[in-house]
Amino acid sequence: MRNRVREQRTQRGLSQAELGAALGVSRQTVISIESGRYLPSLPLAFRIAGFFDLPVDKMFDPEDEVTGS
Amino acid sequence: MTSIRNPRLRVPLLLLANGGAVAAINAVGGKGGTAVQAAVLTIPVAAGWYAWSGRDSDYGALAGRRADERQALIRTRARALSGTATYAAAAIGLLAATALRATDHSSSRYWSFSLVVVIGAVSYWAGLRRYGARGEDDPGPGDDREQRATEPRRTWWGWQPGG
Repeated sequence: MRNRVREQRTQRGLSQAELGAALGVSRQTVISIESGRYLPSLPLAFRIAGFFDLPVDKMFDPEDEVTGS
Repeated sequence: MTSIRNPRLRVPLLLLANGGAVAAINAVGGKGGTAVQAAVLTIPVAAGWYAWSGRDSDYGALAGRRADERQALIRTRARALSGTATYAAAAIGLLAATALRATDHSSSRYWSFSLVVVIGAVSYWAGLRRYGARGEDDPGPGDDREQRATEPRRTWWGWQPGG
């Protein structure tokens, strides 16, 4: 599943540590989410989407898993 | 019960308490040397744990009891692996001890392995219950079997009324 966390974070000029602090997770977890190694829980996915003021389905793209890219 | 405000201090204080208890028991029992050894070993371990728990890493977060959801998931999986390995080792130990006892009637003691195997089995079952595993006759809130029973059912000869 692809996500736009890195793109949105860099657009806002935030570091991974700053985003982690805002979301209540560690820097390592932000790195894992951005790289797609960790799929966040539904509550955290909503927190991420809410933080960037985007709908969850714009933040996380399940179609990418189908295409395998 | 008094709570410890700094979560990083919990494990080091627990280590110090355990080490202190071991040292005190040995001191009371007249084993002064062992008491000193316990005290001398405990202090650097507790201090090391405290220092380690302040690191900016997954290990530090886990040691400092401030894990987020991903780190908690890692901890749960690691515990599951550790539990599985311990259980497998106990099961193998039980088999080996039973075989030794059967062959030479020696004093091979298998009760300790049995204890771990029984505790493992019971705690696994308790975990299934605690974390929501349900049986066929154990309906929970929102169970819709009644509703499904009244819906039409598809059989090989066609749709039949439910009930």
